[in-house]
Amino acid sequence: MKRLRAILALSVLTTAMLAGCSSSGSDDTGSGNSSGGKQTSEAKQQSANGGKTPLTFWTYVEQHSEFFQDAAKTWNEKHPDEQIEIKTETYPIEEMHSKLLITLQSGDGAPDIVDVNVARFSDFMQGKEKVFVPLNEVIEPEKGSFLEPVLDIYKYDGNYYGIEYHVGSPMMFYNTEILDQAGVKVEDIVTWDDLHEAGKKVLQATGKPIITFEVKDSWSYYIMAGERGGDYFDEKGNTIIDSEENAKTLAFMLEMLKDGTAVTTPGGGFHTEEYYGFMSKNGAASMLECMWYMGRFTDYMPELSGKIRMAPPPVWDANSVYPVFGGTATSVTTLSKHQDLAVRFLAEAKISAEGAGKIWNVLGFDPLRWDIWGTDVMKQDNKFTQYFGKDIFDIVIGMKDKFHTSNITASPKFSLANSLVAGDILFKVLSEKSETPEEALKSAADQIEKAK
Amino acid sequence: MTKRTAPYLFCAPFILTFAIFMVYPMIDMIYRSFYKLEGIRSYRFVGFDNYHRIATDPHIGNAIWTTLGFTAGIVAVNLVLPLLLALALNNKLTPFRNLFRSAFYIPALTSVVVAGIFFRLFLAGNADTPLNAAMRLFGKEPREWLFDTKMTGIVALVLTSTWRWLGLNILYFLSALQTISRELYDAAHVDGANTLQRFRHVTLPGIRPIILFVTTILTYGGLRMFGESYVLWNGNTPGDIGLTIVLYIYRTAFGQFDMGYASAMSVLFFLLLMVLNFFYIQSMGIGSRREER
Repeated sequence: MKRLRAILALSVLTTAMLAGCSSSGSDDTGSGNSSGGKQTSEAKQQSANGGKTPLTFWTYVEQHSEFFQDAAKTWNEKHPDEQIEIKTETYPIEEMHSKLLITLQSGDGAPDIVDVNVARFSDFMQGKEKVFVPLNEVIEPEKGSFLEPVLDIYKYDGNYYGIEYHVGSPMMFYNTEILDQAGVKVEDIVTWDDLHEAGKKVLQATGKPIITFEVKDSWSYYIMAGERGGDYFDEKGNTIIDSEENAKTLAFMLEMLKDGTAVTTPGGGFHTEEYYGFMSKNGAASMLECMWYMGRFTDYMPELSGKIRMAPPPVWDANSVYPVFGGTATSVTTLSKHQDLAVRFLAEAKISAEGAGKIWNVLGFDPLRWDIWGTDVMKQDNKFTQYFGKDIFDIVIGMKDKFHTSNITASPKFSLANSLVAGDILFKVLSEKSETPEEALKSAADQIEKAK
Repeated sequence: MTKRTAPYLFCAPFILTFAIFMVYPMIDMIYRSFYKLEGIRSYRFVGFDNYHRIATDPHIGNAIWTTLGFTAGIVAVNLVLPLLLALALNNKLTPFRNLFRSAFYIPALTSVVVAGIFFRLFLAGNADTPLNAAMRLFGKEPREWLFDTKMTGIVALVLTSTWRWLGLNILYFLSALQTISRELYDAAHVDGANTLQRFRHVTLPGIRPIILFVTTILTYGGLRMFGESYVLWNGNTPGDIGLTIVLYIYRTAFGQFDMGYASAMSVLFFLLLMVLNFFYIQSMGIGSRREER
């Protein structure tokens, strides 16, 4: 009997605790139908924010949150009767994506607007239920002036589920001081073989490598392989990571490493303190990255100001393309209570010509809107034009017709493939030299197949 | 409320939180280990597929090797070194004892991220890092210490962890040393025991419980190593250097959203820990009748 009473007491306590948990929810829907309850709560929220509609924005890049704060200010000036208040939250990249997954799974707590890394985007696009709002109505009217290969990265079944910040044009950064010492001209380097030959001259004259190859990060390899049609997946998501194009690219890198015209990157990748230190002391004569890497030069290698010249990357042959794969998409979640407003705000922030200009002048990215590339907006005085000169976008304009969409969002296994390239293939083939290109690529392909 | 019901009520908050935040997720994890996450909300039943995958995954062996190697290393180093330092700091002849005591403890207060970044730069491959500069004095080429071999990876992990954990372990040993009665040493001295004999027959038996305690926390700290490994290699461990089991599970779950596979690995890791736990409890005689008497 006493036992029964104890159990009773316990269950009362449990009920009390659970009731405590859910009491906040019952306020909204306690009376009347649920949509009526929602409206009252929205009205309450608005009045609490001085008539402004609150929108939450999650990102993993601090500068993006500043960009959206600025965009909200502009929006409020233009739309006095539709004021918004943007609440930005910045998290470390992995934490943000897992938080996003969990909130989308549970159907509660997801942001209105969110940055999604391109390598993780397809994770969110699986299954029948879509978690992001199609942006067609704001993208399609402007499509003519947008770079389609980059828009298409986030296109599934004819719908655009995200809008990119930048093209991420592949770009070669040459250290002209080292090249001058060896009597090498940037214009003479057209193909990768030219670069290899120039590397021999640079090595002889200065003892320095002409290029560095990453062994802990994948993007420069992804560009090199992508130029000749290599990728990790085809358009349908089939694994082609062990393709001949990829193996040939690795073999070429190995050859340059062997004769000393290339070295592996100190720190393993381009985004390490070790590498900034190495490059700023004139460690190597060039590097291959995307255009937004400019910011790393201006911020971490100020010593090289005026010495770095940007140029289109070398190609393999006349058929080579320049792969583009963006970097970060911004999407509106279907859990947002203000979807329409969020979409229109996002359009003004990132799709309008004014927004695109800010993407360049505030963030230092190459915006998708190519119709402004030739305008004076892109030649304004900012830290990038001061460092690299005013003609940065003339280079991009020259590359425009060769841009080609990478299949970066074709398979949900892209993040696995990318981690295998960055963590296994490049290191084992280029640094440890414990596996041949074919062996390493085959092993990665097997692992991806097993994970499917 | 009676005397009989009161204990249930007092225990209830703990039992409830334990059930909601520990037991339920664990049961859910076992359940998920037979499924595969497809998309956001749909799971597909795959039977024992995730477990079969573990058997052929080339990274698992490396992760186990690194984890066990690190555990062995951290237990060995962090038993001997703190004990020796505690003995020195307990000795009245040591100058500036209090200064050293706090100096050794300060690293324990730094965050793993700060310590990790510091050691990442210290072990970097540039020719001008302190370590490589020192190597040059001996006529050695600069090396990428963190990307050298799996063994150097383990050593780097032990080094970083020891730097942070040393102070705390010294503290444990110091407090244990101070509980040994002075009289025992005097008696041993009178019996003609030399320093080594006094250490072996008086000090060691006196601090035995603490040695066992420190060994236990080091073993579990070693097996669940994540933080240092994550920061030292910046979340990416090329060639599986520095890849621990927990880091691999974390990366599979949150880097690749492969929840089912990560759950299966966690289930096996849990079983492995339970087996170790069992042997540990057996060898210490915890809970046996002998202890009760």
